[in-house]
Amino acid sequence: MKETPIVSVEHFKMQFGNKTVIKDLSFEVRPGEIFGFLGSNGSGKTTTIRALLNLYVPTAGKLLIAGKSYNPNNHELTVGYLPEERGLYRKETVIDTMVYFGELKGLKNPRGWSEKYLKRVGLGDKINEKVEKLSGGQQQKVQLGLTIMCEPKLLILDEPTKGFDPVNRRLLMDIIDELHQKGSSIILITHYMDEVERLCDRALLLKDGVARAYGPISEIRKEFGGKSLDEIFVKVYGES
Amino acid sequence: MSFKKPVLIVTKFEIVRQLKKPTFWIALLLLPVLLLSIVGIAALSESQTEEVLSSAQSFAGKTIGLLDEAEIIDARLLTDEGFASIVGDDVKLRVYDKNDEKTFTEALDEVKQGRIDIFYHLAKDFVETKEVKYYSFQRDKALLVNREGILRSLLSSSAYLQTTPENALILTNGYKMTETTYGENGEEVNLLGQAIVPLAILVIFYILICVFGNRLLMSVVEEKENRISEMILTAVSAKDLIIGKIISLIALGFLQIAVFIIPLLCILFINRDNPMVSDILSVIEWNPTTILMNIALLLFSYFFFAGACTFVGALVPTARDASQFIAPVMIGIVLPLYFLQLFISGENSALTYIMSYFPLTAPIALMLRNAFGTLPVWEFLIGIVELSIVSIIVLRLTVKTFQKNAINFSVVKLNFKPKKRWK
Repeated sequence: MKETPIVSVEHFKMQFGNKTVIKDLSFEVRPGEIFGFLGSNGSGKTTTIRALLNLYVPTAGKLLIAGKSYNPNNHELTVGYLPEERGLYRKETVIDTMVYFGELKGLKNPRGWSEKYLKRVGLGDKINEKVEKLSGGQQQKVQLGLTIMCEPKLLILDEPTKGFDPVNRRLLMDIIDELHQKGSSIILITHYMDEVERLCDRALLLKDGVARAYGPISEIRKEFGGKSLDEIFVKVYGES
Repeated sequence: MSFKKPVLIVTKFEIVRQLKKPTFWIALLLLPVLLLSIVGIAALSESQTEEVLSSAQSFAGKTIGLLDEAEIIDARLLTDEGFASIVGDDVKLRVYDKNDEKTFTEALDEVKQGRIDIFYHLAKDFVETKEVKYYSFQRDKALLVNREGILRSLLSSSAYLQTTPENALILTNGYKMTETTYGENGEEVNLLGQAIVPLAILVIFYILICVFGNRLLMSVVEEKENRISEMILTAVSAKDLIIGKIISLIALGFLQIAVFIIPLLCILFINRDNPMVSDILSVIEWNPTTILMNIALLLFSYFFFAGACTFVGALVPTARDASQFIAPVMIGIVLPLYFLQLFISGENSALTYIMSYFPLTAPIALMLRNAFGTLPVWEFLIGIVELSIVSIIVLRLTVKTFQKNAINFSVVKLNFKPKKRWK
């Protein structure tokens, strides 16, 4: 019997007024895989993720997570989402923010988990600090913590390494790898093709609201004459 | 409404973070100052109103009765010309015979039957007691704020025309006026006394909207301003988030009321033997029905107001952009205060009904009418049902708008231009 995909998108169409952002998109993300979701700025990646998480109502099509429409109150299947547009409650302390999200996500001991995580990422001394006092990089670590709490079955990371220095980028990759080892499925949205080639099992390249390439990384490369993903990206987006 | 766990988590988070804000406590402690300012402004406007209404215009068509057993009012003022020189031609004066013992009872009966609008009585011992009694019929609420006006004019004019220097001193405000108002069935009613507690509830509503309007707005705008809405909406639904925020601010509103009311009641209780306090307490008439009706109106109105503020918050990306939208809401809410006299008089004008049923003006209009006993129960029930329905509609709109605009970080543009149907 075929395993239920963790993400299933069928004939997804999205229009904003007269502008069609996604024409007809279908793809699946399998349980336990790291899936690269690629495309240039404005190609519709974030729109697709927002529709998947019920933040947008699709014009047409079905977008399911583990066979169901996403509902944040369903704690059976936890989803961690690190959006591109991300922020925090600036006037709140780091620990209060993390405990709040932990409680909302149904974490049993949100304080204990948060303290452990903050120590791991080098923010052990910032627990009671207000968010606005943290540097940009430190805030990103807190945002990542909010995303990965509850060891989500599905992790969606929209440009997670943007603004990270090499040390913190390595730390982030370790955490992603750790969650992957534990069985989490990951959708990675990034412009760094080396990350995709190194981490992802399969990928989808989105252009003009349709999938221009979709499948295992090796097959995509084969399809484009053995070129690297970087070269494929330039070729696809260089076409008129 | 089911209070699901996420709603409670949001409520707790919002309450705790508000309590941690110094601005919340500053607002809490400034509340008595704000209240005193409102009372001061109201007193000032009342004195101005009194001045305006002392003119003959507001007494036009009324009949005034006078029984001067003390013979203190100058007889020349009681002639047609003399009286008209003070209050105008449109006011009728009926002077009762001071030598007939039955006169007083007859005059009172005429007031109770509504044939006399105001009856002034100066007893024989006026110079000793320095007290004037006057009687009026409840129907004439239009005269509520200036029923003393004509007699004061007669007494001060008399002070110039005749009498001894001692009496002149008494007649220029050295006396006390005691009023008695009769209801529809001839029973004595204490209009102002009955209105004090319901009006205090209205003042509480006014303070709540002043103090919490901005907080309600900010609580919804904040997620968008901090770019956290996308993350939070994957952890909690827009509906639970908005309801949690509204409940938290309603709860904080009650805390604010309690923090203000409890010490005030304690002060009154401890000083209950103080003559000034006992005087105030003796004036207050506790009418449970009217008080409960205004409490219900306060609750439903605040719920509606909270919905309206959060709706504005959901509509705009930043607090700064909210000012253009929140101003009409605030103006609509306080507008009925400028038509106070209309609501006191119980006049069944179109404006009274429009303001009583237009959602934005309904809260204060209904509370004012109820305070002065001009709101029938059936109208009260319609008002409550209307406020409930409108609140639910506004709440649903807020949730939908928030959901739609939560990740829209640009200003919402309202387009009123009709679409072209031809090329």
